[in-house]
Amino acid sequence: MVARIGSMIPFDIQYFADYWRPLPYWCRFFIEVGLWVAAYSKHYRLRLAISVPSRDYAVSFISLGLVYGANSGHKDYSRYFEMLCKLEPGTPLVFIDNDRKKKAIFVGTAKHPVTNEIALRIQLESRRSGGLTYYIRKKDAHRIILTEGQAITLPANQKGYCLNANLDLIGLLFSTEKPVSFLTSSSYDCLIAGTIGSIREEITETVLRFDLKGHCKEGYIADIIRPRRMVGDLGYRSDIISPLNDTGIDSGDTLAVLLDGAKAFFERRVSYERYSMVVVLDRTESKYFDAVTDINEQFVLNNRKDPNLLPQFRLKVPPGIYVSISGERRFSIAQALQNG
Amino acid sequence: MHKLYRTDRLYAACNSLQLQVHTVGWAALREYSNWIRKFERAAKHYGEDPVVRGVLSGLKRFGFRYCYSPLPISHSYLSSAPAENCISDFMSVASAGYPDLYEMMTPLSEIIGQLKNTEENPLLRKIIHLVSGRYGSSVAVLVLSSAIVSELQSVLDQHCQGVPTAVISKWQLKNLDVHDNLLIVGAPHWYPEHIIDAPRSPNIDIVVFEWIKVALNLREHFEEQLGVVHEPIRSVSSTQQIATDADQTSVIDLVMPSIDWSSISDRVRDNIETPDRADVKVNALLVKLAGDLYTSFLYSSSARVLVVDTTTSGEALDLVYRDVSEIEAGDLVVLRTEGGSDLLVPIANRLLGKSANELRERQERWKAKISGKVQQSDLDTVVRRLRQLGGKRANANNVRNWMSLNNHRPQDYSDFLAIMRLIGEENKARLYWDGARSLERAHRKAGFVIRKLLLEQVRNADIISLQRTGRADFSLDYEGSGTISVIRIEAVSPNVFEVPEYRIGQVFKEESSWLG
Repeated sequence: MVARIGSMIPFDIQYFADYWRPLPYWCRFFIEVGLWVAAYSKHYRLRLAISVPSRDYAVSFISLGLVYGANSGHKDYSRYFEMLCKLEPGTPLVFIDNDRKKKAIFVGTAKHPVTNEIALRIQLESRRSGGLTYYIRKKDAHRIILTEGQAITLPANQKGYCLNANLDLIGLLFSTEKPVSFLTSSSYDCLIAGTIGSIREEITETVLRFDLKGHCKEGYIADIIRPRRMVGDLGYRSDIISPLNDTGIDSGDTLAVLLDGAKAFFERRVSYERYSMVVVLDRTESKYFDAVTDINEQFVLNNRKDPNLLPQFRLKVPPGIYVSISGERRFSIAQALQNG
Repeated sequence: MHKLYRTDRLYAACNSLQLQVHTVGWAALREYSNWIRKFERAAKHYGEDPVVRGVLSGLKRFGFRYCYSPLPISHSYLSSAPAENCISDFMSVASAGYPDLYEMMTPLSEIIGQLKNTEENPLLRKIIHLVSGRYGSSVAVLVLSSAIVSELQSVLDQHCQGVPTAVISKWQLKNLDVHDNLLIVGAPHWYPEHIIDAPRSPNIDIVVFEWIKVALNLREHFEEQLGVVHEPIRSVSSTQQIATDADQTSVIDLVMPSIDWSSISDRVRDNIETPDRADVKVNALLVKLAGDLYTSFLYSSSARVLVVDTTTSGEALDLVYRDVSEIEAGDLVVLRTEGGSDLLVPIANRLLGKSANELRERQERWKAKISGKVQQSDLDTVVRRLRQLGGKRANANNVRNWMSLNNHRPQDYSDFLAIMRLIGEENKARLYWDGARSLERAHRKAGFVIRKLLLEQVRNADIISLQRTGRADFSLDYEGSGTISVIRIEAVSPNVFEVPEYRIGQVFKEESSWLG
């Protein structure tokens, strides 16, 4: 029997180890934690500390839940389309043509020859070879990706490059009709600071099967969380950094930073202070109790001024795992002024 | 086995943990333990007296070994010689200086005699009994010291045929291996808390002498945490004794001896072979390695050591450099434990090609001449003369180094020119200087070649055996190639110590460095 994930996730997951096995409850719990953080970090600057008997797979599944939670809502591309309409002619773009990405430049806007609605005009081939131009309607705006590069020259013809994305899985989980829309924009929904080698192994070598109402697709956690260091600039949703060596990433749209282990916690807790933070602590680590002491002090401070979030965390914690939650309420500028 | 499946087994162990304590009696060892307690109380009157502290520490260490070592009594690890030496050293001074302690010491030899005359180690007997009763499943036997892992493994292989048994040390309880049964030898509080709190087996048996306190006193985790501490863990962590199979009378909270880092640091400073080289002092972290070995690592912002990366699971071992400030107990560090200089010369000669012989002859010639000058007069005169001839760094120590064939050349050309002037070879100074530099470069390259060959062997080492024993040595098939060892770090000094620069990285053995 395939175990069903709690109410927050509408699909079942299995993993392959000699044969398909139901995903254990502790993995599902971590996915739920990610979803919970995605929901609550909009209103609170969260501090979640999770004590585990082994760090393996914890941040990998939390990041899966987080990225899923951050992207599962319906997306309206109207504003995106309006923004594209205002681009300077000649702006370089990427056009997603089925499962291939192609170079393009923005030409301008014009009425669509068939539907008569305002459409974007993009050019895909050089003038010398005819200057192939497409009309892109509002409903297809997700197929246009803005790039950060310099001006480009278009080739005489192009087959495009294969998309580095599991569109079948993305389509199943996010939008059956427009899987490429997941790649249209990029964001650091979560940042992971941890041992890159072992996290990479977990997110790229564990085959999962997602089952949504009888429709099954296989893939890896990396297909969903799309770390920038692995997928490049196209549609990244997260990144993994070393606790010590990499320069930190500063991003306004990050929902939470996942710190994998006491070392990551001590090295990165100050630089990522303004984000919601999930710290996974392994009880076999030598600095485990140092980190726990630090977290407890913060817990006491936070709970003195902010409401206790523990009652709102309604997930059943699996045996062997202990969780601490605290958080500061986020205020809008207007609320902050009102509160003095 | 798939990593996720292995991790799942670990969570399952947390969910279904069963703990049982088995006590063992041994009248002679109990008498010894009681005697130590009484002696310790009496010794308190002498405060930090080093003689009293020394004898107490030695005797406690001896008794403690018996408490955690399920080896045959005749085994050299349980030899009574260190304790007997301790006693006789103390007795030679005690009658005059410590009369009350002298009096107390009288019956001790007889107690030790009773210990040694015990036919069979009761701890070993109990373990064999428990392991043999686990047919159909595997057993991991956790021991406190990695020094007895191999020895106990041989004994159990002999006595517990039919039950797959692996003797392990605490460092192996950090990975994803889950054992059907885990048998802990000794009190849980001698080990890190995670052996109970992040268990690597669903069935844990604790085997301990009946007078030793079992309560673990696990620390709390988070304030107002979510998640329930499993009942068996709660019971062993409470101050109440958990159910045991023997009456509990007069339990002793035997505290494991701790390392006296100050005495280790003194040892590094005292054993200076060449006093002249002790001038340069640097900050260092002292490190205890498996097998009562110690070393020191330079402590600076740029100092790094080579360690085995245990976070990856490839077939070959990954070696990575780690900041010294980042190293911790459990790391497997790569160290040169034996020379390698003998192989340097033939490899360097090969790298130098045809010019090797000529360069070496030239080198020997000027070194022989400067040595001759010292023999003709004396070292101080030569130093003075070199200074007059423009030698900036000429002093007794440096001149001794410059005469040695192990040293290629002075660091500064002005010193070399002064030497050439003194031996009457000033016109050949540049030729000799270039030759010495070529030799130096070749030796450095040869060092890299040897290191590379040795590290290649390290990468192919058997990680499981390495983790069990805490040490593996690697050498090449050439005599004099030296040895590179991968050794587990068992403890790192909490403070930084000042040590002579040349002692950095040297490995030495030290057995009597425990605080009582």
